[in-house]
Amino acid sequence: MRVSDSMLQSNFLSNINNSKEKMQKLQTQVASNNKISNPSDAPSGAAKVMRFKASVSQTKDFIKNVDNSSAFLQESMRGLEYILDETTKILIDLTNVQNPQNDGNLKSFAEQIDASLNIILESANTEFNGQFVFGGTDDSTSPYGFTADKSAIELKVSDVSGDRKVKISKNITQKLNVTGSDLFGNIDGTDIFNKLIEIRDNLKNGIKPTDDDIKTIEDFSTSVRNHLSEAGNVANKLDASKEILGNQVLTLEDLISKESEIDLAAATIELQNYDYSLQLSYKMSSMFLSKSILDYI
Amino acid sequence: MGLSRLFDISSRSMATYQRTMDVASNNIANAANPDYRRQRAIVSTENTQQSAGITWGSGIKLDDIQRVRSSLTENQIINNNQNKSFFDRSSVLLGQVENIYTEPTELGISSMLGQFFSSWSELSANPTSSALRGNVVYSAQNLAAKVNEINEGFQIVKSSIFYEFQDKVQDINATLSSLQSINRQISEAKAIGQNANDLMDKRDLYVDNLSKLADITVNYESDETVNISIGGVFAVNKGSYTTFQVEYTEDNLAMIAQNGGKSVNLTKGEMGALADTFNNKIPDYQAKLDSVITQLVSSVNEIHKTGNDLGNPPQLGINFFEEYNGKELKISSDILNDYNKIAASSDGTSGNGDIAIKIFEISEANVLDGAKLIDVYSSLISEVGSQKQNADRMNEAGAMVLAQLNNQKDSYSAVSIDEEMLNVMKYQKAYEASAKLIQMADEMLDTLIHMV
Repeated sequence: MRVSDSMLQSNFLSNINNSKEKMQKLQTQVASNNKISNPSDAPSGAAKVMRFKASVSQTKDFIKNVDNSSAFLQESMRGLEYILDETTKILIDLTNVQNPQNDGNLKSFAEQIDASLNIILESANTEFNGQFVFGGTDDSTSPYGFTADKSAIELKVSDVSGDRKVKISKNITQKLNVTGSDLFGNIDGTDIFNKLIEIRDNLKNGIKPTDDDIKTIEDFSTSVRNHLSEAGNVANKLDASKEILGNQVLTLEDLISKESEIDLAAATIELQNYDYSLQLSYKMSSMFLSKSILDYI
Repeated sequence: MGLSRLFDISSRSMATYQRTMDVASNNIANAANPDYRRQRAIVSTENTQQSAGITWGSGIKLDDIQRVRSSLTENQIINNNQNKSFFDRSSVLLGQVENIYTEPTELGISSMLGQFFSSWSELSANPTSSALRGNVVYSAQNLAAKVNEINEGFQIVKSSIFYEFQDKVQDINATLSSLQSINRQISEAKAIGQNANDLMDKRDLYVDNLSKLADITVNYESDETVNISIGGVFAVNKGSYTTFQVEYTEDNLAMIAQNGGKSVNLTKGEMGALADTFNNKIPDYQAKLDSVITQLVSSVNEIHKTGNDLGNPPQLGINFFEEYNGKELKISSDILNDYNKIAASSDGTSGNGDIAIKIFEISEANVLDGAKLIDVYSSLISEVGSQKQNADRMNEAGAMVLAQLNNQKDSYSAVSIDEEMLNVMKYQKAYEASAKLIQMADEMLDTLIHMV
């Protein structure tokens, strides 16, 4: 084959360009630790990374929801515990009232029940992050309060039966709250608040509570305990979900990393190889391109 | 037979070798000229003479100066130029389109879409929070800004393609005009037996440049002129050339022969890449993006309309997005003016976030052609990436083929300094020997004269 000077030059130039082009790409990848800067670097890989990232983002949303829900539940459980504590105290007081030795102290018992009633009322209006935990889904105002003449307790909002739901995984939408209607029933005069007011007022007037009164309080106490247990179960479920979701994020991030991150060791060695080829090309070109028959005649 | 024959043969030989030295020096002078084809002096023995029943040789003569060229290789180069240039330009244009999406970074639609749905998820947990309502609007604004940026990006790329297309049509017209003029000069030179090697080099350069621009068919005539058609439309011969012009609508870019002539079928070369990107690729990408955004708008609005805002009394039937027209994604002005118009509640109570949950659930629902929005969108990005990657690879392959062909061409047509220097040495020796012969003939003549 006849070899012209331009063939030698274009071959050397092409080899040098090839090496430089590959080195430039590797350098970008090493510097960014990312082998997919553009979709064309790995079209299906880029699509996978986008889908994985969307899943990570979604899973992190679920984790955020779980965290917020856990805090909401803790606040609900604290409220329920206060209510349970006060209900227990009331039951003890109501047992003590039955003792004839305490007949002269009925007003004092009435005051204690009044204090407990206020604490239960305050707990019933427990607020977390602008949300009333026992107020259903109406956050416009505290759900429970005294009537204008302070003689009874009434509902300040239209409805306390709304379920607060939160999405904690692709397929699970969790009910989070203990609704006021579930916990306190209808506020219609026969409810726990007005029952306590009735007992308090009777005690003030020297009338001891009946067995039915005590049973109503006992039933309420049992209901609070059940709701507390239920809330505890939901809290445990949220903890378990959080762990699962955390693992999902780790798995997805690992997949993203495998798909998009570069093997630094391999890339560095490859870079060195190309550098070696490039230097060899330079050396070769300096040896041959400058020579012609003119150097020898 | 006299001594004068020695003078004749030697002087003819000196003249011939001087001409061959000229050819070699012209080759050496053009050794670095990539458009030059080396020339070769064709020499032969001079016509013999008959005398006294003996045939006498009469020395050497220069017959022609030929241009060394492999037409097969050069035709292949012309064909491969068209393909290589198509993919080379496509790669650049698709790279520009690919950059518009800024995927797969945090600044792309995929991430913005995720943030938009996240904001609804967060709102569902606390629907009365004005900060979270603001967050929904900001994330929607970010998404809208990115969608609008991509749509504008498409228009900018299309506009730059249009201007480039226009410039290249001018280039083609100028090249065709020059080709016709060179064709005529070659024809005239040939007609009077002149050497047209340099003109043919220039002609080949124009043909080569033209082959990078569009799909051309080249026919070489017997008088060394060329007859070229572009995309099935006559372009130039030695007698005339066609002037082309741009035919442009918002959706179509074409090159047509002036004065209502035929439309050129552009499938190769840089013009083919420009037309393909403008007429096919960008509209296809835009339509796919539009389908995702239109579905997003429709799905969100459909659910949002069934929800209650935070007003007193709560209001139903509010759209979250304004209707998407394929150009600009806009959030409803009602919502921009009052974040409480975001309808997160299904029953009108302020703490109910059922609608927000439903809107969040769009992200995982198969709402578009049986697939999730993110899946359809990521397939689009994958398609853009694949087409760019394909163009890169085809360009790389085309470059390798062209490099091989150019090597073949250079092997045949390019100058080798070593070869030319050896020729020079050879011619120089022959010239010197011829001169020596004259000197010897002179001495012989001297001897003869002194005998008298």
